[in-house]
Amino acid sequence: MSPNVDPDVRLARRRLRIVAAVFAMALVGLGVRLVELALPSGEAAVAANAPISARPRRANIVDRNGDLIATDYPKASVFADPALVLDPAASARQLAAVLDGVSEAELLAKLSGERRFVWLKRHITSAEQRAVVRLGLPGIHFRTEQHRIYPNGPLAAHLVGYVGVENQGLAGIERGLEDRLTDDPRDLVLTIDLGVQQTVRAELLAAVTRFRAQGGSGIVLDLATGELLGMVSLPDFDPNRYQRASRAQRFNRNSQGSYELGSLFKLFTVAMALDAGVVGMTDGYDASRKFEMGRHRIDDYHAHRRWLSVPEIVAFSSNIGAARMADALGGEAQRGYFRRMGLLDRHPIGLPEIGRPMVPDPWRPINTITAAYGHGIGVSPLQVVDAVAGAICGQAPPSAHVVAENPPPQRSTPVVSAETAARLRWLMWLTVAEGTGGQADVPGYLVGGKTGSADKAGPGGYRGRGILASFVAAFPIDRPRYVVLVILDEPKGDAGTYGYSTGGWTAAPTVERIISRIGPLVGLPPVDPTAEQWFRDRLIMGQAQNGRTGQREASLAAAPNLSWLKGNGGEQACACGPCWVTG
Amino acid sequence: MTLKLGVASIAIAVIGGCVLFAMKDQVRRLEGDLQSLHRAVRSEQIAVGRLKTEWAILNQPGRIGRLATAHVGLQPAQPGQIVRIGDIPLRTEMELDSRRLQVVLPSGEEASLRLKPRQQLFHHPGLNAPQ
Repeated sequence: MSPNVDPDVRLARRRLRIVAAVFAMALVGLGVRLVELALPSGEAAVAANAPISARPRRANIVDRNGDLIATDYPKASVFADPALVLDPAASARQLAAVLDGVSEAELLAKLSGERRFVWLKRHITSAEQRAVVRLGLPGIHFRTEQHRIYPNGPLAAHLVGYVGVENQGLAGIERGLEDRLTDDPRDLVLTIDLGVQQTVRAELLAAVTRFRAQGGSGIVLDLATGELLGMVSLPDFDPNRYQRASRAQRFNRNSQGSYELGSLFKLFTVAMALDAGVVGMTDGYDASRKFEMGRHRIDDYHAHRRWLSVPEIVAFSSNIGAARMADALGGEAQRGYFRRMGLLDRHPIGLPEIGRPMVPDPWRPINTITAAYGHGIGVSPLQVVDAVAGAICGQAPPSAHVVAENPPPQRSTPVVSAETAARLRWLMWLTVAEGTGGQADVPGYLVGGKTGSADKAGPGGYRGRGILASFVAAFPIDRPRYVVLVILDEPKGDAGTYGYSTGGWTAAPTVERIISRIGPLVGLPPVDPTAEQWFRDRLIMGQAQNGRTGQREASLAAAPNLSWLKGNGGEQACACGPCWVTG
Repeated sequence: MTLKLGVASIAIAVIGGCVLFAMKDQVRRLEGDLQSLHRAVRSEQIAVGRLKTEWAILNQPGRIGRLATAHVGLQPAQPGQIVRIGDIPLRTEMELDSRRLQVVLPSGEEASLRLKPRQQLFHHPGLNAPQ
């Protein structure tokens, strides 16, 4: 540029250049922004294009092996826009012919309505959908929705529960864990093993059918962990068609039921009497006469009419002996033990269907006596398996649960001492080996148990109604790993049981069949002969005089000078499952 | 110079526009592909869910049990069918068990000696004791 240019022009040019530079920068800025917008940028683009998740609205429920118990399954529902329906009457007639369970009048009312959207039928089958498509009616549409289905039908019905038409949980785990199932898409793993569950259900169903019982319940508990492997309540229902189930079918006996279980409670009575030291293994009571308190008279079902040793009181199930033991123990101590066993409180299983135990209030001396042999106190089957676990292990495992995530903590206070627990295991073995529980003996396994037969209470007292027959077993009894409980409601004896319907004749053989089938299923090795010897060593034959005949009779007794705790203190930790697992 | 600059910027703008257009078009097509892939994935996932459900229905333990009994003749396993490895006798022990050694005792009596079997060896329900 020439030096003699007018200064004003120079100024103007400089200003122009500045303006041009500003515009150029703005243009470049716009260009950059344009490129930025056009190119899909990192995260935002990924988020915008994330795959439409196939995640079901509710998490699947699976058993401990991952087999499906509840899952979502796409099913079509048919709806109409009445404004687009040309001939409501003809459409209703044609649709009623292909849609099962919907009446023509109902359809006509819906199709002639004012609304622009009406459901005609929810969750139709694919055959129905094809038929409706073939009709080719205007204004009729489908919507595919996730629908809850239960591939195993009634197998775990009471546990898993069911959902309503809007997929909201209405019962069982579906309701109890509604938030978990809707918030977290991961599978909800149960502790149930469908193989064990099926075995328990099949055997229980066979027993209920054979003995014409009103129903029954069966539980298999893993003592090492407190996990329930199987839990069946009969009669049951198909959760895919829960609307058709009666109240009796939906009732979960295991958690909602509250039953007087009779002689089963003698197990708890002898445990507390031994633990409190009011009676020893070599002691006994006179059972030749009825036990009387006020106007109440207590007699034996299997009457021996003589002095009975403590082992015999359990093995022969003597009401008189149990009553005398509880009398010696006292009501206060008895309630303390019941509380620690969890028999006086609601079971913490977390199902919405949970019953409260029937506990006498006030607790009179006669309640202490009748509770000793399981009358006047009603508990749920779940509470019983937990109480048995505590009594035979000393240190109880976590309370029985069905959901594997967040298991309950180990119960802190031991229910009874390790020595009492060892004695109780021996008494349960004796009941099966020599007593009323003989039909629960499984060849190849060492089983211990206790029978129960309770008269059912009703209006007008206990007489004339059926009984509740039960059997609780632990196996292998030398180091228990599993507790099995079977209860039959009003079984009727048949020729095979010589007309007897008591626990030893109906529930015990059912437990035997369950154990002999699930033992191999869970891979339990057969009995170790030395273990049985330990039990045999502690059994001696004594003599007792029969009060009626005056004859001396052979009686079962515990060896006086043998230790109940084997090994060097390892028993405490090793009494139950956990030690068995580690070998 | 101004002219050159102007021509250059117009050329850049035109080329830039073309590149941008091509890129945008490519992105649009890729997005379409992505979406159809997602749709395919979703329908596969639904199909897998359907199959899993059907498998669960076919795999019901009760059904398998019925079929196994009816068609294969299988029965539920019995406790006696499970044996500890330590309970299986050695072949030599089995052979020695059947041998008898006839001896004459100092008292003049004749006796037959045999190896004392391990207690658990032959008395397991799952084992057939040797003759």
